[in-house]
This record gives sequence, structure tokens and C-alpha cells, in this order.
Amino acid sequence: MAENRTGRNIFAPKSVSELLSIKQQHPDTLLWAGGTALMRQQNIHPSFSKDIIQLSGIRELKKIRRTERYLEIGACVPIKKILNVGQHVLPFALSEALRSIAPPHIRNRATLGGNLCCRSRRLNTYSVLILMDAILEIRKSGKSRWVGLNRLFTRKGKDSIQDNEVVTRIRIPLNVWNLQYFTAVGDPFYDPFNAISFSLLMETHKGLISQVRFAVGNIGKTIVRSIDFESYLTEKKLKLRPKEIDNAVEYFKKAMEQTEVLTSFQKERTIRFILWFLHELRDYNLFTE
Amino acid sequence: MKINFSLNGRNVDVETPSETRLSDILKDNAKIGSVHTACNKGECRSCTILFNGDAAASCLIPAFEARSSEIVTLEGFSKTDDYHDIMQAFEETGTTLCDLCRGGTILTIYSILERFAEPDEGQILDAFRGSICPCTNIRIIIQVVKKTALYRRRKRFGRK
Repeated sequence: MAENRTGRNIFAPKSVSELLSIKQQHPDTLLWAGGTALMRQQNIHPSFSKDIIQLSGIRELKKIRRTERYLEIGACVPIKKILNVGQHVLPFALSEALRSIAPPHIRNRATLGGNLCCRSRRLNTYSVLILMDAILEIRKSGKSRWVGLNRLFTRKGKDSIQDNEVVTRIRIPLNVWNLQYFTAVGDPFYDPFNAISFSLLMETHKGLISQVRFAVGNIGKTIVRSIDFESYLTEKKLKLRPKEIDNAVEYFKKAMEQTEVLTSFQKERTIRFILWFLHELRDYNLFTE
Repeated sequence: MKINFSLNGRNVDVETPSETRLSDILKDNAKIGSVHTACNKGECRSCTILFNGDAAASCLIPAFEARSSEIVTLEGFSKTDDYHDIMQAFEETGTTLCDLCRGGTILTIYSILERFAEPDEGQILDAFRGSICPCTNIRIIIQVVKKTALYRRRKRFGRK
């Protein structure tokens, strides 16, 4: 269904198949989920030059499904509804990341798909979901494919979604992590040069770190993650020694220098955060086995 | 484009460009006094409304999203018992809200209480995160929310 009043078409499909056929015919349209990030960016009218596909009427995109192995969230599920799923289902780090997105009067309309697919910047849930190995279902008329979230954007921020494709579902594996942590310092919208987020997932077994994943997100086009840092900490005994903490910090410093996406203040914040949590790990303060 | 929505219980038809902010429509077309347009980024809360039952920043909603929606502003909400409970709590704490944040604060309190019967301090602080109006201390708002929750419980269940 299209309406043409001001030279711009607003399509309001009621099903995914209708959405895909519209996208096939009009690949250069803007997908409108919650629109909270887009509306914040446009202070000057006329703001949108493209035709728009309004997604709020598609029920299939607003479903949450849970199995023993994963949680599947429709791309247009509002953040509020995801948070209502409950603490025992939603991974703790994800729930903290969702809560950090915005105050409730914005979370009521913002969607997870919108948060992940924002082209200009990587928002709060992106780094957590990458660590959790989340995958996305991307559909186009007559075809669908699953893509790892880590492959959605290149290092330079270009996305791998074709013009006639749409992200429809986000699948999050429900692995058991002993320690999950997410914190966002500063608000990326109010304070883009200083705001930063830290996501950490850790699995321990009999006093040994069996797996660790850590990512630093800012408002830029990519996140910072160091495989060297993570593999160095793997198989280390808990109660890390001071020398091990120093080495781990050095590995992350190298990764920050290579990616060059953080400001010097954000780098300083990151080092302080790593030192803090590695010391907390040493003292067993963050979790009990 | 022509849009139709329910505003405080009555049907409204507006002819407007599709990208117009709902806050502008409410203020300019529907002459709603409690909706202000200040930051246009959802930060100041002066344009908060109940959009299909949830508190929302009307400056972040374009006209085409408002089609067939149910909108309640402070003018409509002030006819309800819930409004009077909140105002009674404000009176008891001796606080008056400024005109800019009045609608946003009252509708935010209502939406917290719709979600949590007995909200804790963390939930209230989360709901008011980023609130920038300096007219009322957040500690007073926490008191008001807790008092209102108490009135509602008394009314609904006849208990403390």
C-alpha cells in the first residue's frame, strides 16, 4: 500500500512477504522501525529524501521465541518488550546493554533491529551481541540467509546488506557464561567523543579461565576487540598475578593502537576498566563459582 | 498526507507532510498546550505523551507513524483518577512543577506505576534518566512516585 501526497511514498506492509516484494520493487527505500535514532539525527527539514517502508504493522517482526539453545528476537520488537521477557531468560549483559540504550520513553519505541542496523554508528547492543555470537536472518524475495553479526559491517563501516534485503530476526545463542558484564560510560548521543561501553563474557572452570571475550564499543563505525588479549587470558588461573595483568593490558593497548577508533580519553577509560576488572577477578569479587 | 488519530478520546484529522514531528502537529494543529517543542531529540521530555498507552517522546514520532494511533496528552490525562493521585502526592511534598516538564514528569510517573505496582528507587531513577529540567529534585520525584503507588494500592486493594 503506498500513499503519495508530498512526493514521497510511505509503504505500510502488513506481512513479511508483502515487505519483501515492496523492497524488491523499490530497493532504494528507507526501512522505518522505531525511527528513534533517525528522528534524533534529523533536525533540519526536509529530512528524508527517500521513500519509506513503515515496519510497525508487521506482526511477524515483533515476535520473540525461545528454545533451549537460543533466543530469537524479531527485528522490530521494541526494547521495552525484550526487557519484559525477564531476567532468567535474557542474558544479563544483553539486558544491561538494552537498558543503557535510552530512558524508557524512548525504549518504548526503539527496536533491536534498528539498534543493530544503524548504518552511521554501532550502538550499545552491537558489541554484546557480537561477543554472544548472534546471527541475523537476512531475507529478500524468495531467499533467506543467516549472517553472523560480526560480518554485518566491514571495518570501515560498510554493511553487507543488499538494497533489496531486510533483516528479519536476530538469533542469540544461550551459552552459559559464569560472568557477564556490560557497562556504558556516558551517553553516546549526548557525549559522542567520551562515551564508551565495555562488554565482557567469561567462563571459568575449576579456578581456570576457560573462555573470555571482551569488546569496547564507542559511537564509531567499529568496535575494539583483541584476540591476543583474549587468548592470553584463556587457561590462566584465577587470582591473576600482577605481571599477567600488565601483559594483558599491553595486548589490549596494541589492539587499540591498531584500530585507531578511540579518542585518547576513551583509551584511558578502557585501560582503567581493564585494570579494574582484572584486579576484581583476582579478589573473586565479581562472581562466585 | 492525511492522518487520523484519536487525541484524548476524540478523533482528529490532520493534513500534514509525512515527516512532520507529532509534537509539532499536537502543538500547532491540535493546539495542545502541554506539549512543547524544545530539543527535538527526545531528551528534554517536554513533549512526552501517552502513545498507544506508553509514554513516548512525540518529537521522535513522524506523522505517518501516528496514523490510527491513540494519543493521550496531559489535558486528557488530567481527567483521570490517576492524575489526581499524582497531584495529591505533589501537593503533600509541597512541590510545583514548571510548565515545561509538567506533562513529561506526570506521564512518566504514570507509566512507571502502570509497569510496577511498587517501583523501587532504581526503577524510578531509570525512568527519569537524562531528565534535564532543574525545577524539581529527583529525590522529591522518588517520594512522589512512592506516595502515588501507595494511594493506588489503597484504592485498588484497600491495603497499605
